[in-house]
Amino acid sequence: MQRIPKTLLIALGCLTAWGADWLTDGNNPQRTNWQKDEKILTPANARNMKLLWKVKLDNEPRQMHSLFPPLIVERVNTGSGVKQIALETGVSDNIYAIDVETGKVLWKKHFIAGYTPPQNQRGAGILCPGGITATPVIAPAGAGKYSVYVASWDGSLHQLNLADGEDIKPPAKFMPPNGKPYGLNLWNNVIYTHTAQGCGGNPNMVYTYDLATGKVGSWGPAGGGMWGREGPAISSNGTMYTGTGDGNFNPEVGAFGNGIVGIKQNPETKAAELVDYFGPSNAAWLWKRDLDMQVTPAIFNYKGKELMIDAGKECRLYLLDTESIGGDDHRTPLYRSPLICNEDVNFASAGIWGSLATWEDAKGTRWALTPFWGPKHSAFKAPVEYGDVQHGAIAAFKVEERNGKWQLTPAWISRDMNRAEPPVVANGIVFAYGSGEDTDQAYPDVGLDDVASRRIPGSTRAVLYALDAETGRELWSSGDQIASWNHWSGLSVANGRVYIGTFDSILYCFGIQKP
Amino acid sequence: MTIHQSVIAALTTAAALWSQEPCSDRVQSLERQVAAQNRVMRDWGGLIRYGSDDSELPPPAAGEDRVVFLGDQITEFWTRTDPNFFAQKSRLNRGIAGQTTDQMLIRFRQDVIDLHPKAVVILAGLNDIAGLHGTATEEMIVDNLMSMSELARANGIRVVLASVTPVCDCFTNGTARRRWQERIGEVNELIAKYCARSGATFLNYFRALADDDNLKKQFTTDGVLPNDAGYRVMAQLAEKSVAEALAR
Repeated sequence: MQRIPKTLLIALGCLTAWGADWLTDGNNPQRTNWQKDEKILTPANARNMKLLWKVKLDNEPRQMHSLFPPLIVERVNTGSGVKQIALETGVSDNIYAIDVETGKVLWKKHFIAGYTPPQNQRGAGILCPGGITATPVIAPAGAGKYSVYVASWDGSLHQLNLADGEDIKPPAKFMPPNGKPYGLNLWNNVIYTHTAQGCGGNPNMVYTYDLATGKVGSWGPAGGGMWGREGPAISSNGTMYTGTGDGNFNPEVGAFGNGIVGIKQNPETKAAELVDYFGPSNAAWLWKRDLDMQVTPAIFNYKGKELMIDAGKECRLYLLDTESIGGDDHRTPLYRSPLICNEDVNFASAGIWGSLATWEDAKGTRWALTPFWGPKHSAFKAPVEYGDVQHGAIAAFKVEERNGKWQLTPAWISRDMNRAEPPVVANGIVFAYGSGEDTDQAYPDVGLDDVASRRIPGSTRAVLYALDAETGRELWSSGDQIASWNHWSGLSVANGRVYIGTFDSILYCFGIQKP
Repeated sequence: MTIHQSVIAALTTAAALWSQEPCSDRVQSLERQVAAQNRVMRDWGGLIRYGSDDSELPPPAAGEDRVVFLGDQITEFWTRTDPNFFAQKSRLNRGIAGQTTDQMLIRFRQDVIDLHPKAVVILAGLNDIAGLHGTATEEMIVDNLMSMSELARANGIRVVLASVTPVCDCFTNGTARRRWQERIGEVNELIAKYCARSGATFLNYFRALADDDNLKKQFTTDGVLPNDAGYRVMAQLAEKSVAEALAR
């Protein structure tokens, strides 16, 4: 056997270990929002971050939706060489591949749905914007090759070649048209998502698509749409978990609203089946006050256990054991935090929205992070705080086991952010942003009037922040460099670059300028 | 700058600071008041205070004599003074400081009916008399108490209506509370009459705590709120009245 020089092996090892990808919402099926492979950005150099480029895309916003968090692949073999590509999704059935070195669009795919929403169906409001509503997912398909899976407005699942945007397979039926799926997840050759808001008159369902057989499985919680922004999180045994929205929690009648459900594909029948569930002890209160458990959970391993954190608009964090998320009675988490915010029980402009983050530092401390909207709860304190929080912030906790009991110990609360959105952790930095979105839904003069024509003019600008992950101290902010705001979007981080899209269909790329 | 000029400058600065500090304190105080008022306006009935706790409470066990104590600060602070009174038996404190009877009526379903108690003890009206949220006549107060009673009875809950407790100016030189005393007497008379005709149990705290119209000094720390001794008297009376109501 021919011997390969040791230096070449080391060089190859470095090359393969260097790159960071962001192939799915939350960066992995567990939705940790932890970019473990970031090597360029550090707490020491974050203050030097600059706007590297921005690109205006021809995507037409729908309602308040525009761009979703881009997916990043570090090394894609294209016709013009190896490129690092950001795959950006626009709500108007648009997919863009962007060369991250230049910010130039390499290719664009627009799905022509041939579908017209019928009159008088829920499908024309902020909650049901139409178009693509789920971030796609990317799967490696051999050296330098990648498949992109996208759920388009007409309910089809597309499989595209990331290198050129061409169809790898003809579109396949995935779900009814005009629904509202959330961030696609891929596990063991099965695509998972869930839907909410009854858009298009469709029931709120979990959908699984078996890539090998093309079989679709579905399961519904009978009330309570599932609207975790990043879609479901998937555990080590392939169970997908998601929070459920407003609805009755009464497992005896098959109702799982305002809780968390665990769904698994039956490997033989390919049906989606309920395998576990959890109902907060005050689920009836959550339902009554419109405090949905609508957050994408995050799953992680710690001290020999697979744990999960989740939250909702009430503004508490739950720590659960994926072995049995609610214990024998399905209502007992490992830990339930005190209220972090939302003292006024505001269903629209306070609470925890979107998704969470979790990471482990070099000392082995496991961290859990949550964004929240609105003022901090007056009774909630952390050892380190950075001033009055009125509009939102990031709260960081340490996951701890003390005397056999698990807890989330408050560590720090960030500076005030205008509607703090799901954070991303990368190499000792927490990237977070205030979306600047006007989130009010009810007004003293007219009551409930959740329409884009009111909220768009009230929205301002997004501000991106870099925080020290261990202390929450602000290292850098984008200031007024971002001109617009965003709704229901998020961040992606890879290879020294942080990406954020805004309502005006501009994708921004911040990072360290190359010398 | 001469010494003379320096002294004048220092005096001027001190005077400016002296005049500004009370002003900024006043602004902060007003801001706190506005924030507190806004909070009350956003949740007029006070549904947030116990809403989540209520939803976590299991239905009463067979044979459990659950009793809800509904009221204002006098009820809410009772637990602080004598937590055992509520812990020992199936008694739930649903007092909210500062509430008037109209606010209690709003939360009556959530904090009383939905908890499926066998009896409710309502102690309310003092804040209405004090005009905490504007003027309320004696009739308005009793209207709200009657509505709560009828809601309770319609749901099979026995009603114990407490007299408004007495007050005194015994810790101040003022006479502000003396003005409330006449109205307290009138409201209590209306409550007693309503109990007599409706079959509700009248719980006369007033008679036990007052000397003529004044709250006895040995039962209070501030002329309004009962102290340990005051709550001990109330506890005995409440226990007796609840037993009577449950026996009916």
